[in-house]
Amino acid sequence: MSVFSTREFKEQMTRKYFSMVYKLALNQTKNKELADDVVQEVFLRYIQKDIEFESEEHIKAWLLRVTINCSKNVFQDSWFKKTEGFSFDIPFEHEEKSDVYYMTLELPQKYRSVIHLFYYEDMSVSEISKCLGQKENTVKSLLRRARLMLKEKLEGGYDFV
Amino acid sequence: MILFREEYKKANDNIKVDNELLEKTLRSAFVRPLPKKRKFNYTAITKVAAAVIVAVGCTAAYPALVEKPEIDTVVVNEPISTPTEETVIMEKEPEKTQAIPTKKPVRKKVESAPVVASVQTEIAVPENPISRMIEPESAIAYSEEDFISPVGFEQISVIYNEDGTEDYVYEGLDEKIISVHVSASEESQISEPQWKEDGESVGVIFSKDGKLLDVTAENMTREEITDAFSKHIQTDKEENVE
Repeated sequence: MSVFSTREFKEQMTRKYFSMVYKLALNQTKNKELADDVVQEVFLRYIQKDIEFESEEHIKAWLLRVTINCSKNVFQDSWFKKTEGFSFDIPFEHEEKSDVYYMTLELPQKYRSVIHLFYYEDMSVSEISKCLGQKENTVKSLLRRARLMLKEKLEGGYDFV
Repeated sequence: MILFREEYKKANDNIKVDNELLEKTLRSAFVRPLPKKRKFNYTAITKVAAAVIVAVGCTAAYPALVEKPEIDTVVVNEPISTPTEETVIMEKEPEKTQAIPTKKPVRKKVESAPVVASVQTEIAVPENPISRMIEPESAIAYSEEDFISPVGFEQISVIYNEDGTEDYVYEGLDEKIISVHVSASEESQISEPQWKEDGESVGVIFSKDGKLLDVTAENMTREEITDAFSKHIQTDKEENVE
């Protein structure tokens, strides 16, 4: 049994990446209750499935990708389609006054994920491309379009470095 | 100039992480014992078996799909039972010549070598409930129910986004996937295919009665997407002409 498969290691990884997965799930679902479900699903899969990981980076990329996929599944659920959907609900420590986060949440799901991974997780285009299983050019296109949309939504000059 | 990155990070750092959820997740995940590693990967075995069955079935069905070969007539020489004058003459002078049976040509039907017919693969064109004239450089008038799928692609899923937009995911020839994002409240205007700086991925925007379609081709080259959508426009034109 490799070190990546031990119970202790899995618990350690869960604690380490819980915040990362939670914030990405919130970014994707825009709702605390849905994000809670997604996070639990992601880590249940990670802990209970016997997956051969090569490194910690591999684990991190896997967690991010599964989080995005589980978030998409939430909206594809037939029950969800028939209901009116959940309300916008982000749990902040203090009142969030900046428009940046809220305007980002208004973007379509695929743009939100690349914006979050690029600007919050500080991942490069190449890393995002491998993580999401998309071409680098596709990621660049999504980032470019997302920035254009954000520039239109946000008042004042923002530098998207 | 405000840095977007800094503002976005501050906002995300302001999010309250539910530590109770973390502990609850760990407890529930570890209460159930980890599944034992099975000796055989039954899932993989089932998939391989299914693939073999499909392959055998396709191979068996292939001859039925090929056009039946034409039947040619071929002249075949066969010995006749009744003696001719020549054979009679031969029998009278057996020492001089040897009886050589004459052969009367008999027409016999023989199957020629099977003709390999060309198998035409038709592009599956989804049913188009609309027939309207479409000018590439003018606005299209569609209603919401009359959304036309791109030619050569089959819709495989719909993703309903919270903001009211929808993503239609299509799979086309060679298993290429594109997604069409339908967003509300946009100006209606058709544009020529917009090529990205990299030259490979493409954005094509159609108009649709106030709805804007934004196609992101993730696995297609410029030529492929142009070809697919030019056929799409052409198909509509031909239908309207008829």
